[in-house]
Amino acid sequence: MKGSYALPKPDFRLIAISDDIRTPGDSEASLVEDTIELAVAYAASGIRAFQLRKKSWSDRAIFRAVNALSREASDFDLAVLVNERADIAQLTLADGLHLPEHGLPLSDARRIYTNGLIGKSCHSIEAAVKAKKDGTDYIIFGPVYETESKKQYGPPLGIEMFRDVCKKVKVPVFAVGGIDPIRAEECLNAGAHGVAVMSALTDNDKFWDNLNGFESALGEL
Amino acid sequence: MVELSGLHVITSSGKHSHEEIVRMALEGGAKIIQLREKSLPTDKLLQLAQAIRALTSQHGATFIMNDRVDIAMTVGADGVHLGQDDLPASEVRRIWPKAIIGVSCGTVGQALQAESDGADYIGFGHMYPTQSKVKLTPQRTLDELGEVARAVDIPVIAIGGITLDKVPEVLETGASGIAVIGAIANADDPSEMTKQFVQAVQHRHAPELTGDEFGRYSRQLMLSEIGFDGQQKLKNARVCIIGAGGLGSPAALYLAAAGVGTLGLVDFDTVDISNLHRQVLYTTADVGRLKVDAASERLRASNPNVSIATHPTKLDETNAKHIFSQYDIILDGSDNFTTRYLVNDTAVELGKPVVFGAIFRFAGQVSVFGLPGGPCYRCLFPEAPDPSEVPSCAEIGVLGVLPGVIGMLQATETIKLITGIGEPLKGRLLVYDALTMSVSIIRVLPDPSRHSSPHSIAN
Repeated sequence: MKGSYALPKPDFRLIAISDDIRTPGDSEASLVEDTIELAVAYAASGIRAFQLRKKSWSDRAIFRAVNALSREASDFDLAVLVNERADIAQLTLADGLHLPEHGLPLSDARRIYTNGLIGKSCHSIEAAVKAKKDGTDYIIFGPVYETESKKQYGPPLGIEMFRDVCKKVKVPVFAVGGIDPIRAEECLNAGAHGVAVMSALTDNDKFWDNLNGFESALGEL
Repeated sequence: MVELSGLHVITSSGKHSHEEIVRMALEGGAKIIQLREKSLPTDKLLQLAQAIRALTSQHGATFIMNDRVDIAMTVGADGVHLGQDDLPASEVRRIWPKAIIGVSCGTVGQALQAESDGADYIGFGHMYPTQSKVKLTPQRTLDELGEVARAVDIPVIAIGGITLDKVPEVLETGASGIAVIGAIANADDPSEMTKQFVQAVQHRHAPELTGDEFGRYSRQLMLSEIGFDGQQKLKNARVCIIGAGGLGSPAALYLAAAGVGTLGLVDFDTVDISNLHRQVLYTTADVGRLKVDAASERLRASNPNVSIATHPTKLDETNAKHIFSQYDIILDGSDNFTTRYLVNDTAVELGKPVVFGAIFRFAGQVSVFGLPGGPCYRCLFPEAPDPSEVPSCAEIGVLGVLPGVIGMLQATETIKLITGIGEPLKGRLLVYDALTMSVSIIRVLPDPSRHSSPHSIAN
């Protein structure tokens, strides 16, 4: 994490989104430690953006994790993105704030969080157009492909709609939902600035294959 | 600083919606509302918080949001209540310096930490078996509550399963207030239940009558309609007097003498020699002094038990709500229509009664507006008359004793409202004519276009 991340647009192509799986009995302290370890390992592997998305965690745990990350990952070029909470993002001086579709309005979030990038999840062209109008720095759009983790957001929207969105909004758009290296290339050709991934990086056996695949598909991480 | 002692009502959806609970609690006299809702997505929670902010503002009440600092800041809440697993108070203070911050604590150590982190109050519990979420923390004893209350200098608010009958023993420990969820939210009539909690908390907090007061009020205590209960009610009451002039002078003198605990005086003017023939609060030596200064000196000399709050300012849209919210009853002794409408509209909005009085040469009027089911000033006079039709005392003169009569009638109605005795001048306009020495009563009905239901004017 860099001290002051004030680039006009995201300078990363791949956002690694943390999962929120916890086994019963895990203490929150150990979960925080595990997550910091994972994010530092990501950073050491060359990943340059990490979105901490932990809906089941307490505010205090998220606050501690982002603070700890900014210390632990300070040697790396890792942007830490806080999910949803403008207050926590501002208090931790996180590099970015990511707003879910039903989150705080962008203008309100911007009043609280002034430190860096604000991104917005969009699941329709209309939502993406509105996010751009509201002044988002980037959009995460999807699910583009079929995926388990995004089932709650409905059927895949498809690469053609993704292409339309990229054409319409003219802000950096990251594709999300069922992204693997081959699909990442397809998305890039459709106008994506980058991709956001969760499951493609959580399978340890395929981690390096996938990461290298993403790097060559995106040109950089 | 906002008063954080007393009753905190925490909303909880269930039998009624959050908005309904808040509306009813405010009507019942709640002054501090906390929204606790963990299951809604942010956009829905934001809408709800906006609605509650609007409701609480209308009633001059404090709005505290549970744990979501981002939403609290966005809707302009007064503060935030934090649990031990939420953001630390010291951190929240950095991005929101003006916030009221409450912290839930379960031990003396946590309470001391919260206090040094800059918390404004402590929530401590849970105290009794409860269905709501506070039971996630272990049950605490009254002794532990007392220890915490002694350990910190900020208000300690007890929470968890507190029912009406438990209020005395909880406050006996030294706790400054109580937070109530289920007992109000699940009551058949949350508004009435709130009223009872407010009374129970106030009753515990009100200092007992002193020896001096027993002697001072002995002739009034003898009246069975007033007695000790009535005297205690007078002592707990807070009355705001608009205008310390002809009407305000006798009203303030008699209310102070009767033992009304808190009197507020709103007047920006100084004493002029031409005031003295009717404004009996002042002496010749007071000419040139700020009226509220001279008046508070005089009233304290009359009864040192009464606390006098002075507002040396012109009442206007920017300060009326803030001033009125600190009082139970407004006594209108103003001398112009602009102020009367402002007094009326603000009091109706806040659900506070107005004891109205007005004078003209040899005649005067008295009524009580803004009582439940009764009319307000606008029901009587929807529009202000042309200023040329209503010259002031300075232009047309006034019999000095006239405001004395009317102001004392206003004081009488105020004492009746506080003690709950007799029939208030609700829906009745008393018209007094000194020349014919006649008193007539005119009926005034609530204007249905203004007050849609008999309950639209709150208590």
